[in-house]
Amino acid sequence: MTPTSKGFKTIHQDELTKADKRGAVLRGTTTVDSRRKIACAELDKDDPIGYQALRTLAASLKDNVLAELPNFLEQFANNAEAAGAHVHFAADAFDARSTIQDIIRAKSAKLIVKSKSMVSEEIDLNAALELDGYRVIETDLGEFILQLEDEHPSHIVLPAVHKPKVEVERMFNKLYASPMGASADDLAQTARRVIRQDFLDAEIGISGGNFLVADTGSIVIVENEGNARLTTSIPKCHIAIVGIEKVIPSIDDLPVFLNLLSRSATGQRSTVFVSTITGPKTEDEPDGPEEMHIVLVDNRRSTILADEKLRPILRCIRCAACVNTCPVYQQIGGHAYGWVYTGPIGAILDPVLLGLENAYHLPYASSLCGACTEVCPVKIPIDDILVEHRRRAVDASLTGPLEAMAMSSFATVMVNHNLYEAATRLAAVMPSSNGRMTRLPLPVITDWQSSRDLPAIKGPRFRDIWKQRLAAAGANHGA
Amino acid sequence: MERSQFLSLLRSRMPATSSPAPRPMSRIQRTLSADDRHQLFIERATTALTHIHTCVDDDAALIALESIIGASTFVDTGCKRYGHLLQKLEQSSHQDLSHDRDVTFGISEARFGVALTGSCVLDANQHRGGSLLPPKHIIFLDSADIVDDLYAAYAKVGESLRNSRTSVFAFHTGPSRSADIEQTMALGVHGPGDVHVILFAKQDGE
Repeated sequence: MTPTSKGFKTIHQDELTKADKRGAVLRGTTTVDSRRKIACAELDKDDPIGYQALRTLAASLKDNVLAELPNFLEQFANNAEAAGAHVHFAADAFDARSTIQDIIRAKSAKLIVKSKSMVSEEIDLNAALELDGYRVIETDLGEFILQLEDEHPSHIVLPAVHKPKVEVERMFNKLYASPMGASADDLAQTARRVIRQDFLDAEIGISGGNFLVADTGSIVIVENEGNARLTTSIPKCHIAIVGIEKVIPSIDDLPVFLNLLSRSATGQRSTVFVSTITGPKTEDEPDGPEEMHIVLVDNRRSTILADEKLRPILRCIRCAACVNTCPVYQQIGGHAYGWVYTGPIGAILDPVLLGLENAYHLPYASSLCGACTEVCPVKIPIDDILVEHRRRAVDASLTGPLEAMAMSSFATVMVNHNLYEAATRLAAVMPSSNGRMTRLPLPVITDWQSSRDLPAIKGPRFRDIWKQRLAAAGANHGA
Repeated sequence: MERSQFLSLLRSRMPATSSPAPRPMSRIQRTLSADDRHQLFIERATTALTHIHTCVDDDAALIALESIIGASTFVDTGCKRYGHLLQKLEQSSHQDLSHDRDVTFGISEARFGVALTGSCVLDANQHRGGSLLPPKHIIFLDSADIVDDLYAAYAKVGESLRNSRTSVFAFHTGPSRSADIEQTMALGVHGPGDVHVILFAKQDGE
């Protein structure tokens, strides 16, 4: 999708006016967030080492892989090829698209079914395939609904979380004569019926991948609907498209990540389907794809890898726990972020994948409350990285001269005793009403103030009270 | 991009200071008693909306099968251990496994089960489409084949993959579901929306 992150300041204001959408986002995220809490807490009982130790273990396993990523990728590729899969390496979005286009053009295909893949959104795959004349069907229910309206996912796990049910009823009514007021079950059955024929007719199935298992050459796909199992089972050719950071060392490590992923993402002990796919169908097996391709995509991930401060971003297993728990996302929704990855993970990932100059607003879409970091199953220090991006944006003068000026004046005041004294005395006599300061007489931050009231400053100052008490105490001792 | 070029480019971008993180801590093995495992599987699979039918022998399994299937049609995805039971059924069975066959039940057997998640593990030696396309799914599972948790389960998967390749190990936990329409759970959106496990459990003393 074409990024609009640069327009964040106006787009998020616009999103905030859409009451139905906001309601759906808030209900969706808070529901899943509370399920996550319960399921993760249960790991203290269910997992031999408990939830917190499991997070530490997962983070260190990922760091291990990242420290030697080229070797693990090579091991994965060797084992996947030994299992009969074709492994392709794509340096960027263009490379990834053309690799996939070349595979498909070599076949006489017309119809492509897809299961969820954020990387395919990242590289704009559907548009390229449609230009080539193929029909491309998103089969995940949420993605299917969005595709019908030419919309993009607003969330990495719950793509249509922003969509009120009544809108789906209306759309299905128009397209498939489904009655208004149809239940979620009925709507799902309609989608099942419509997409089923496409599953049976498609020559190509394109999936994502949650994990690449180095020691077996397997890809692992986690899902609830069964559309990924169908996508990777029915068409004769399966193409998996996966980011290079998804490698884990061994199949023995997989349970660590599965336990954390399903519980953090949806609050389930396990998702309904977890497929470990190792090559195309064997000769003895009754059905399954005869050909399997795995496209490993860099697309600026190696830039993150090379950057020690940003590298923990690559631990991400795309559970979206940070997204669901984020008070900012809960209000503005995913479309405000203007690109594929949304919420706190998007705010740290997009500035690298799109270039900081195109997404520097996103790290500011946070109150730095740290809730995201607290729930991250692989312990990415998200709030630290948000601050790091902000620092780089200011250093690169991206945020405009005013913020740099404000920050440098703040720094000057904070380190100069006389200025600090003067500033704090001034603050205590600021105009206020009903205990709130609605507007400071500072033109530089007018924009910032327009959405914020500060509590009125209660005089006298702490420093003055402290001085008085010290003096009083001294007088008492002296007596 | 060529693999060698890709990897050498990636290697050139690795920071020089890069040092491997400490090796992960070793994991503790859980050991539940056979009875606890059995009970936990039933509890967890039921939470995941699987219908469990516990049977002590073939006769009991046949009665359960008859009652589940009723007058509907079924397809055998390639049951070996329990195939003989399906031959005794009077309901019409489709030998034709072509994908667009319209049948109500797919019947599979699990390689093993996982107590803690209530999952049944299928593999690609059985017909994949048969376990996914019909609206309902019946899975045979022997209680003796239930392992404690995912650690034990993937140890088995790893061992099997090291011996010979099976293209898919699929962990199935309850019916296909989606919460994509305003977090309201809808069942059977693509895979089976109704899942039954015929759980064989020998009686005490046998």
